[in-house]
Amino acid sequence: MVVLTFYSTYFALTAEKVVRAAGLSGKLIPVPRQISTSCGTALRLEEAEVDTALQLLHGAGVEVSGVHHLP
Amino acid sequence: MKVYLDNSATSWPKPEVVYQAVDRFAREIGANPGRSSYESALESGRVLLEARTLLAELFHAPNPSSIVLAFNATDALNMAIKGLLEPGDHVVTTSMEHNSVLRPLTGLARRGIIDFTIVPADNQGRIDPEQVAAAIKDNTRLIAVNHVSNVVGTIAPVKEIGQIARDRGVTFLVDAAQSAGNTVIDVQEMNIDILAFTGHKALLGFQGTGGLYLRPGIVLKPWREGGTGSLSELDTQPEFLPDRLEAGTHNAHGWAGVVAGIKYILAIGVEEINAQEWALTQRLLAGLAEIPKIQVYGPDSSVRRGPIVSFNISGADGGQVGYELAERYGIMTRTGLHCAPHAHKSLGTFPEGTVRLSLSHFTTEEEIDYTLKSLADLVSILT
Ligand SMILES: Cc1ncc(COP(=O)(O)O)c(C=O)c1O
Repeated sequence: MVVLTFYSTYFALTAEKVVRAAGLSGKLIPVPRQISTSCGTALRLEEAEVDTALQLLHGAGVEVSGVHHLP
Repeated sequence: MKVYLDNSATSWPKPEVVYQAVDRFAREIGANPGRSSYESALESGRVLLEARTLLAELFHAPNPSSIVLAFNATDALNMAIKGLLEPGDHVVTTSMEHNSVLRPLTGLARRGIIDFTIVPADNQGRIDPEQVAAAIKDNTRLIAVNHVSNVVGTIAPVKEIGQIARDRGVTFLVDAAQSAGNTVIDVQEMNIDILAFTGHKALLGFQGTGGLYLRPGIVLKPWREGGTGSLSELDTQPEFLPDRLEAGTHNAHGWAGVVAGIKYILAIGVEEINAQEWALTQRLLAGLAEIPKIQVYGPDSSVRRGPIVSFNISGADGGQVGYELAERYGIMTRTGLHCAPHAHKSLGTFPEGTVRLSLSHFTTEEEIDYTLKSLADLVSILT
């Protein structure tokens, strides 16, 4: 599983909208304990979706503060 | 009969969908937006995201992230004025401004921080862009202009002034409190750098909602500081938007209403709403012209204006006229200076003020005709 973190909730919510519109699985979750970050909401994705998601988010002007690969 | 003609203060009634959206939010969602990640908190946050998205569409803004949410136009204008200006700056504004622009500027000037010039309107509330251009100095950082007069409905030449601001490298702030929702606003075409709006007037939402469009690249110092749900480990306000300017819990149920209001507006079309309101305003103006002893202020009756008409009955006190309209006929108006003393000076109606009739999308021809009949009756009683 991969977790994307964001500076603000605005970006987290926009990210969810962008990846879902493209048919990816993105789900918003509380930031896992092992990651310290700026805003409390993160986006969970499948490993295989990450590259597409990051491209989409970049295109939509959404700033991602961290990409975390979790077991 | 009850006729509500105080829509420029707060519009009423609202579209049915607005009541439903607020009710649904209050009963089924309710949570604090942007602070947690359980479903109803996310849903609350999604309401704000939808509000930003729709506001960006309505104003032809490039991106929802250029929208900053606040609590009303006054809050948004304070954010813009106090967030932008630095010691030694000069501001050009107009006599048609609301006190929500004039008082923050006067406050800063009295403390010796800034200096400002008020460009006077003529007696119809019109601003000459050339006079705005002539008032610009080397240290002018901001031009602040009211889009549609809340006293007489006069429409300011914002596109022309926006061009002047762009050419001279000055930031252009437009107060769209009276125009957002009923008048076409294209921030890119009009060269608007900062647009202030309020949710409870022509956007058809409730009180406690307002905000700013900020052209990407405009940086404001935070005027209100506090919790954002982000970077909570820091003692200072985050640098990024919207959190930089949006401390404190939003009026989320209010935004649920504005979201429904804007969808309603977009489904009909802003141009169509404007045309309907103008037709009603013309009906009102034509009827008023027939009643003796009524003097109407503002633009010539053939010139398009916002749905706002100010008048006086000669020989009668405006406050009494407003009182009698409410008591005898159930017609709700606003009298006095409408928080815009300099506008009344330009119009020649200071300090007495005027009686203001302001229409909305829900005003009917029948209500206009009843108002005209009541006014004719009242004139014969009072004079
Ligand atoms: C032109 C204008 N600017 C600003 C405001 C302030 O709006 P609000 O009361 O929503 O802060 C109003 C309305 O009261 C207005 O008519």
